[in-house]
Order: sequence, then structure tokens, then C-alpha cells
Amino acid sequence: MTESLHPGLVLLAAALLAGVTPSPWHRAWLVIGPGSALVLIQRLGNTTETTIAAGVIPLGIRADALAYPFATIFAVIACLAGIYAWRASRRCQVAGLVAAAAATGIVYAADWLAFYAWWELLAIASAVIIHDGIRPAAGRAAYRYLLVHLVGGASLLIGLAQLVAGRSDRSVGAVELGVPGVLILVGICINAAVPPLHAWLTDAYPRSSAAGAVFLSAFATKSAVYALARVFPGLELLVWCGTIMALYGVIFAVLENNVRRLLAYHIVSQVGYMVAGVGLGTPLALAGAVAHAFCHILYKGLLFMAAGAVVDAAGTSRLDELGGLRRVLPGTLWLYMIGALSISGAPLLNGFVSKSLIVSAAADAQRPLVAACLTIAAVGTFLSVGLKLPVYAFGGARLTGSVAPIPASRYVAMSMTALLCVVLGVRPDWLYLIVRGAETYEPYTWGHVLEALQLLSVTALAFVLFRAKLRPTQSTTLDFDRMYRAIGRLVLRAGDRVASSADKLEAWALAAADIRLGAQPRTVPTVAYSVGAALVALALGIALFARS
Amino acid sequence: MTWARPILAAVCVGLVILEVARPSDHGVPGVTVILAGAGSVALVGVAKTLGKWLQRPGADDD
Repeated sequence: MTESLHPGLVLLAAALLAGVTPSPWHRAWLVIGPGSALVLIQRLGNTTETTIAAGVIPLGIRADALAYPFATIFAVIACLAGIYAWRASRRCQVAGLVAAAAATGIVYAADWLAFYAWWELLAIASAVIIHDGIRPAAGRAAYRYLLVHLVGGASLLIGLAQLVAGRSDRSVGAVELGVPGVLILVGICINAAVPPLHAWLTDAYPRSSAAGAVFLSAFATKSAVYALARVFPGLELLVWCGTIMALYGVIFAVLENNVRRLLAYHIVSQVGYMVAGVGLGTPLALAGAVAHAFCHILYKGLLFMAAGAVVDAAGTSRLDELGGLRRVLPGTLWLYMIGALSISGAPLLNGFVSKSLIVSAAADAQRPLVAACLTIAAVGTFLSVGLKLPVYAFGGARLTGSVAPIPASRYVAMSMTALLCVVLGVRPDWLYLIVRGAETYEPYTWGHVLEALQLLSVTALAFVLFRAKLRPTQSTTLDFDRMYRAIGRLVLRAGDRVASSADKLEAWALAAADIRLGAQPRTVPTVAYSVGAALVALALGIALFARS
Repeated sequence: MTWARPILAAVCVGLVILEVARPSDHGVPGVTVILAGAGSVALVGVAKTLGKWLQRPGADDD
């Protein structure tokens, strides 16, 4: 047991200082904060256990082999996203640092109460990031995001309360599937965007700002992957959830016309690989899930950086309105393609190493159907991210009007992220220094490389053959979010009726008592019902927790 | 992009020949090509079929 500063608290302090330091000096905290946290994380290593008390919340740190890679990559991407967000609004910068702090807190939490506190802080910080996006849609998306995550948080809290009831040991660890386990699983699966609980992601991420999307893509789903690996390793249900996620995401991405929503669907798909890896539960599969989360944060961050730069420069995020950008943004195209080939699993890039780890683990575990489905998902990934998006956004000659210049800070962030994708792809042994458990796996065998090249070339041929069917059109794709919004409207309408009935009852009662009513009728904002319901659920969970 | 079809087809055939000529212990030769080919056809087919039911004309503003 040693004493150390909590890296999450360092990031929180940086967020606070970024909020109060006069502009433009506040931007320094975007690099100093994550940089300091990264140094602390390296000092903690992967075999440290410390306890830091902060009021009622025990801030014990458990820096083991599972926490270390997640904490490291969270600090790295916070730094890179901070550079990318150099010219973003201060609210986005501060909320981004708070989200990084919360995600770091989640992976280091040794106690369930600390875990829950960081978990909710991440939801609030993410909602602020979304709210800072494209108005007025961003405000509504942030509200929906907060509602979904309050429901998920309430499920998690009630499950945790039942789990720790009557126990003295509240340390974060594996949980069996019972009533508390299912509630905890639902709470985590909402954050992991497991269909049909994924709609918040594809709803909110495209509506955030360019810099906000980079922060969002890094923390919420990956901290949920960490939680699944910590709490439910080897759960068979997760194998199929992950496999369905991988396919679901790519199918909807093929249909998508909005550049950033297309990438958001690919988060669902790529997190599916990680969830499947966690479900397989073998040491190689777990190492693959962690390695894929590590690599995914880098290449998905790069893709969102490049897409955000394109959207801000061209003024539209619709593929049917984009085109011809290769002439005006050649550097962005090259950097985007590094991310696109990496997510597609092209050799010499980090996605090749981590993706082949999971697929090989599935094959080694005698799960040929899972391995085949994950391979088909990789085909869909290259089809939409590696071919459809760059061909229609950067190819052709359709874009009319001027293209705004991209700030130098964005090029710096994109170049550094792309460099990390290449370095970890060329030197997988450096990745294995951070992610333990995969040291014996050799990705660069004749068979692996040939398979990857075959997959990419056949997919490219299929794209050329089916190009007419993949042409983007101005359309809206209905997903589960439409259903949830319809249910939400029904609930609000029912709430309105109950409220108006209560008002009528009150009026009748007052009239019966012969008391004159005021001139102004009472109205209750509909928003209050949903927030109220979520708060009641939270209060119930807290009460249960306190009782235990 | 008509010019790309024969080139890509030749590359695919060449990669299968390479796999047959120098087999590895990593599965049956040709399986990845078949999986990728069938997978891409299936994905585009499923997506377009779903699109008929789930897509509405007009941009998604909110």
C-alpha cells in the first residue's frame, strides 16, 4: 500500500484551473492536466494499491493490469483532444477535462461508491459537452442523453445497493448474474451502447461540436468496456451481445448519410468486438478486448478529428452535399485514411493488431460463427469508413462554395494521433508493454497478413461493383431512438393528463369549498416530469445504498 | 471506376493463389475471400432492404 495523488483528481484540478484562468492562458491546462495525470499513472504502474480519503467518498486506487492501459490511454487522448480543442469553447474544454477525470476515476475505483460517483460525473460532463454542440438540436440531444444515463445510473445504483447490502466488502469486482447483477449489467450496457440501448450514442455524438465528439468518443463507451471486463468477464451473454453490436453498427453505418453519425455507428460496432472479447473470457480474448479499446480510442479519435475538421470546413455533415475535398484538404484526407485503414484492420496500423487478437481468440476458443461474424463486420467497416465516406466526401467534384481553413492545432492533434496509430501498428510489442496478456500473440504471420489483404481487396471490389447502391441520399434512418422518443412523448402526455386531472380535482375541491381560484391557471412544465421521475429513481437507489 | 474492377479482381485472385501456394496453419485457403465476398453482398443487401423500411426522405435535423 502506497500513497499517491489520484490522477482523476489531478485532471479535475486542471479542469477547475482551466475554468478560472484568464484566456488564452487557460488552454495550457488542456495539456498540463493530462500530461501530469499520465506521469502519475506511469508511477502508479499496474501493481499499486493506495487509499486516499476525500470526505465520505473513499478514493482508493487499484492500479492493476486491467486499469493501467485504460488510464494510460484516457490521459493520452485527453491531451490530444485538448490540443484539438485549442480553439473550442471554454465550456467544452473544461467539460472534456472533467470527463477525462471521471473516466480515470472509474478505472481506478476500488470501492463501489467511488465507482458510482465517478460514473455519474462522467454522464454529467458528457451531457455538458453535447449541450455545447450545434444548437438547438444539441440542447435537446443533451437532455435526452442525460435522461437515458440517469435511468442507467439508477439501475446501476439500485443493483449496487442490493449487491452490497449486509456486506462489509464493497470493493469493485466480479459479480454473479442475479437480480443485482442484471441491474448492474443493464446500467453498464446502457453506457456501452449495446442495442437496443445504444440510441443515445448515435443521437448525441453527431450533434456535439467537432472537439466535443472527440472527447465523447473516448470516454463513455470505453469506461463501460472496462466495467464489463472488471465485473462480468467470461459472461456468455456478452459474446452474442458483442457480435450483434458489431454487425448492427456496420449495417446502419452503410445506410447513413451523416458523416459523424456514420462514425458513431462504428463506435457501436467496434465496442461490439470488445464486448465479445470480454464475453469470451479467455486470457487472449480479454487482452484483445483491452488492446482493442486502447487502439480504438486512438483511431476513432483520429476519425472524429478529421470528420469534425471536414464538417467545420465545409459547413455540412451530409455526405450527399460533400465532395471534392481532396483538392482543398489533402492533409486531412491522408490523416483520415490512416484512421480509416486502422479501423478496417489494415496491416502496419494498430487496428490490425487489436482486431486480429479478438478474432483469433474467438477462433482459438472454438467459436467459428463468432469469428466469422466479426470478420464480416470488418468487411462492413472498410466498406463504409474506408471507402464510402472518403470517396463521397473527398472524391468527386460536387462541393460548391468556400471551404474554411482548418486551425493548425487541429492538424497537430491529428498528426500526433495518426503517428501513434502507425507506431503501435508497426511495433505491437510496445502495445504489449501496456496491455498485458497478449505477449505471446504474433500478429504479423503470413496467414494473418494475407487474410487482412484478401479481406480489404475483396471489399474494395464489392464497393466498386455496388457503388450505385451505396450512393448517399438525403434521408433519415429510423432507429430505436425514434421509438424511445415516441414512448417518451406518450409518458409526457399521460403525465400532462394526470396533472390536468389533478388540477381539475383541485379546482372542484376548491369550488366545493367556495373559495375563488386565482386568475392564472397552474401549469407544470413537461420536462419536470421526466427529470422528477429520474430523480425519484436516484433517490430510491441512494436510500437503498444508505440502508445497506 | 470501371477500370478498377479488373485490377481488384486480379489482386483478389492473386492473393488466393498466394494462399494456396504457401498455406499457413491459419484456416482453409480461400475462406476469407469467400467470407468477405459473401459478407459484403449480404451486408449491402440487408442494409438496402432495411433502408426500404427504415429510411425516410429528407435530412435529419433533430
